[in-house]
Amino acid sequence: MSYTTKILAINKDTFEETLLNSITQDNLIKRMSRPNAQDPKYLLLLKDNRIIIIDKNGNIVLDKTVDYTIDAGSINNNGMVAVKSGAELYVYDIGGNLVYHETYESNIAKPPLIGTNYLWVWLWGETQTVYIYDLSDFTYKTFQKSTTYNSLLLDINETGEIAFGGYWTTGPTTHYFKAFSDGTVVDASTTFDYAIYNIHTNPLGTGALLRLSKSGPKYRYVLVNTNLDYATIDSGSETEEIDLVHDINFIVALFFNKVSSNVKKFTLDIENLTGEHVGTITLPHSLDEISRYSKMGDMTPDGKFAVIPSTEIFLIDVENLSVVKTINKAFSGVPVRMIVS
Amino acid sequence: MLTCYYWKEYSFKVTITNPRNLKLKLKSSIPFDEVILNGKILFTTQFQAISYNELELDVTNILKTDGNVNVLHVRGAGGSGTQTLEAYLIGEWDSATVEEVAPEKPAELPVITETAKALGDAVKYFIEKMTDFLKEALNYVIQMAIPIWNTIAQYVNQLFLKPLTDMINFLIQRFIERFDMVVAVNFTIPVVWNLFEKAVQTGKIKYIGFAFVTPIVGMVLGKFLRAMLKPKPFSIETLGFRFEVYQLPQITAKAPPETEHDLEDLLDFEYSFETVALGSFWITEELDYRFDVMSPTLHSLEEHLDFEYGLQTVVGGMFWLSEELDYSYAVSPENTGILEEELAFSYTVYSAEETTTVAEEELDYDYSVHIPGLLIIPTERVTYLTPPEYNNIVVVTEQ
Repeated sequence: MSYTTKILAINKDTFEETLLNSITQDNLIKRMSRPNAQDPKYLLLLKDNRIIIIDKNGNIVLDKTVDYTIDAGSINNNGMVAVKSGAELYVYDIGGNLVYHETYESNIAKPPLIGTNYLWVWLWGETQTVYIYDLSDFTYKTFQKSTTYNSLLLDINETGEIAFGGYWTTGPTTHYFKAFSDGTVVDASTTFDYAIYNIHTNPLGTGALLRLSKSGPKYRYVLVNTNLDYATIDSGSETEEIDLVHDINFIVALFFNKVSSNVKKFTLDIENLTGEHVGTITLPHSLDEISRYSKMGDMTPDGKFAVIPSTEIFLIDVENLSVVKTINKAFSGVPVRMIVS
Repeated sequence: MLTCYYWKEYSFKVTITNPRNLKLKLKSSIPFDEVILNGKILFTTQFQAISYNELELDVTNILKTDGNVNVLHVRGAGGSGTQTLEAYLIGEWDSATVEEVAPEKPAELPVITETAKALGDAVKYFIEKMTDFLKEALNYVIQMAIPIWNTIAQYVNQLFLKPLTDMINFLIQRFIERFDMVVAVNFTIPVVWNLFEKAVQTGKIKYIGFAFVTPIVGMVLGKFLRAMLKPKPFSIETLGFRFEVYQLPQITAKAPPETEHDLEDLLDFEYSFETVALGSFWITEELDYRFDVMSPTLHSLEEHLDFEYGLQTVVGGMFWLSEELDYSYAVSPENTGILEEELAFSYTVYSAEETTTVAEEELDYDYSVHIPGLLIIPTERVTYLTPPEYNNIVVVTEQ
């Protein structure tokens, strides 16, 4: 079966659509990601054995085929790519040249996260070891966390100097912490009585949003500031698997889930640690199946537009909470990502 | 007949890649009383009557094959004269080198070491307590002083400095409003005085005429200079001054994070004696933990202890004890602390029948790391990023 990845430019004023490029292959996109940056410059598409980099003008700047099966990976704002295959780590520059390769004693747990200065890799195991590589010379620092079911999650800032992390232990009890590229870790003194599914760190690394499992009737988010103080945001949803998209300053976020067609808008204040539900938009269809640990939609850096995957892709004007564009797609469970130019 | 006791200590380094089935074969011209390798008794006549001139001993897990120093002690008794001792290392390997090293003298004098350690602990304890005290005291002072200072500052600002500022501003305003008049008066009076003086001195009436024009010139000059004055309106704030006692932000003195670790480890020892000799045995094992901690950040210390004891019979019914200790520490970043733990366990064998002894021991490690030092951490303000400007939203998805 043939699949086509389309790169579309949509004018922010007229919403006119222009096809910039397309890529055809016989398997689906495995993972799509962009740098967690103030002004993201590249998008990374990973297929089974293909690494594709797209710049903000829609040009395909790298289309590399590798001789192993790619599990997951990420890209930094210089176009450097880190991918993993089992226990193997590969780091490529924007030209597709292999600059680093490592084989670990156990499988790499989650996608390696690459910032502009540091790369974070962590492994499966009862005790999960996190390696933080300095991209200038690939020397590394480490720290470890004992988790249940390899539940360690991290999300790094633009440079990779700061990460917010979380994991859960039996209960489940979620622990969260902040880690630095020199391997130091500051643990929060608080824990939550839920499991943790996802972490969103802002590009400066001054805060994070933790996506938690159900406790009681509602699903919740936790807004964490740089001092690891926190506020719980009640999303009001009783259906499962909520995800979110947010702007670069954590001023606005949209929360959505796979069952309901409601997308809720929250305004956030990282300084005063508040999150306020300010509106809801009901989409024509319920939303796409959302992987528990994946990030499926996206928002522009200024928080004005968002894309949410459903049976179609909806481009939402966040300020006015209206659908300004509908993009067709043929397959469910396909992520959508965007950059601005 | 004269009986002599011979004691030979031999130190050597062995580097072996991929060693398999390592055995130490010893031949002596006199019977062996005792063979000890790296502190482990491989053979002793203490528990049996038979002695041997030739022994082949399994040294797997006892012989250090990674280039570290091995120490072999051999003891025997025989007649006076020159005795011979031959040692052979038997086994399979990919490559091997053996190097003799001179016996090492003890590096530390225990008494001094213990004294130094006690002193170090005392200093560390003192610093910890001082740090706690300073942190508490500083916080107490800060927490007390900041509201007091801010309250005083608020009242001083409201009751004194604000009215003072308003008054000065009022005077400045009035002065500026009448600046043309001030200039005119200050220009006119001395000029008119000088003109009248000149008229009297010279007797020329024209100077009095000039004197009548002078106020008009002074007024024009005053208006002109007033028009030149910027900024408007004038106040001490616009001139860059401010009469205000600043209020202090809330700050908290924090000691660097203090961590406490509770590590519990349950060790199960199982001993099985299949062929036994009578007697008492004891084993002591000293474990030294060394870990690194750096102020002022947190660290993690993890360890894995795997003890494996196997008791097997060797030549003549002797026991040997093998053990594997795997310590793995992840510590970041660095400073130094030392944790020492001595494990001692003993066992006694009462009969020569086959017995099985199961010993269980629970070790509870409890330690805390106090890091001396003091930090003052002001509350951080949130910084916001400027989003990029754009015309197009580039959307990528599979269709």
